[in-house]
Amino acid sequence: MGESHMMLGAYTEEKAGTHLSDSRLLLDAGDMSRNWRRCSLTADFLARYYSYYFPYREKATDRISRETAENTISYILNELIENTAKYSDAENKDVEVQVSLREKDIVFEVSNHVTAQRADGFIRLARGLLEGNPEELYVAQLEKNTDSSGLGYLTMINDYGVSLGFKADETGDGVFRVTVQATMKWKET
Amino acid sequence: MEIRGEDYVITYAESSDTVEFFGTLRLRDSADYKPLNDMLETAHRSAKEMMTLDFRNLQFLNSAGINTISRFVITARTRDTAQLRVLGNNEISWQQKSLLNLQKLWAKVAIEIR
Repeated sequence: MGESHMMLGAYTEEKAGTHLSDSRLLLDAGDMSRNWRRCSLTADFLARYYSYYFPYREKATDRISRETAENTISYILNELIENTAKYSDAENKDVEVQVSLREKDIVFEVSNHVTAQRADGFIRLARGLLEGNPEELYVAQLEKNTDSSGLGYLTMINDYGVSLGFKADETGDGVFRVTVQATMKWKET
Repeated sequence: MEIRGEDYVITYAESSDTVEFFGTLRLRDSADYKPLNDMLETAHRSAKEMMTLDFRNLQFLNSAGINTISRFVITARTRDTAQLRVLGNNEISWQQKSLLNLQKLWAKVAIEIR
């Protein structure tokens, strides 16, 4: 991998605008890999936590409902967290999960540590997702008959209207901290 | 026949050619999903005209699970024996958002989301 710092897609370092809420969780990829249900548990916890910002269906006229918020946040975070549990192949198993609720959208940012080789794969996957047509990629990926990498990202883009950003930073000794940022609108404009 | 995990149950009723899902299904990868894949293929082979996949009580399915179901749909399409009928619940986000994608893989899949 040539670059030691790289950003792709809709990644933003500065999350501008008013933040209604920010949270951060530090986890261990090894723990989650050893007991897979911890991925789902973590996603469900944050989803329920943030769902309280949203009104029940009857009152949700210009925004998503509490039920939808909980379901969609859980789906998106679970996909992002599962990836960190699956792919953290560096010695450093630190995983950071951040959620920022802003006036119109919610930003999920999940980072973990990987070897240079895996960072290369991450960048290649990100480029492929950002340059291709997501609807076509989705079908092509499934027709390929492999453990489709990127299917989780494609469902987020196609089905949940999420925009994705990717970042890779070398932290030294051929280890990269990779970050995925997923932004979802919750308010109708 | 049934597959039971800590957060889910999947049942196969031979008499009605129906596979029914309950709970939250978020397994790690295709290796962990193999028992489900085997069950789906068994059910499809024994179904004469129509096999039903009933997701109405499945709260969550991760992308690895979507992958498993989608690839099964492709297998069924290739075999082109029994048709597929998919039952979904409009109140469950992933079903409302992602279930219709199955028709992109095989236009003949009948999907009823209520």
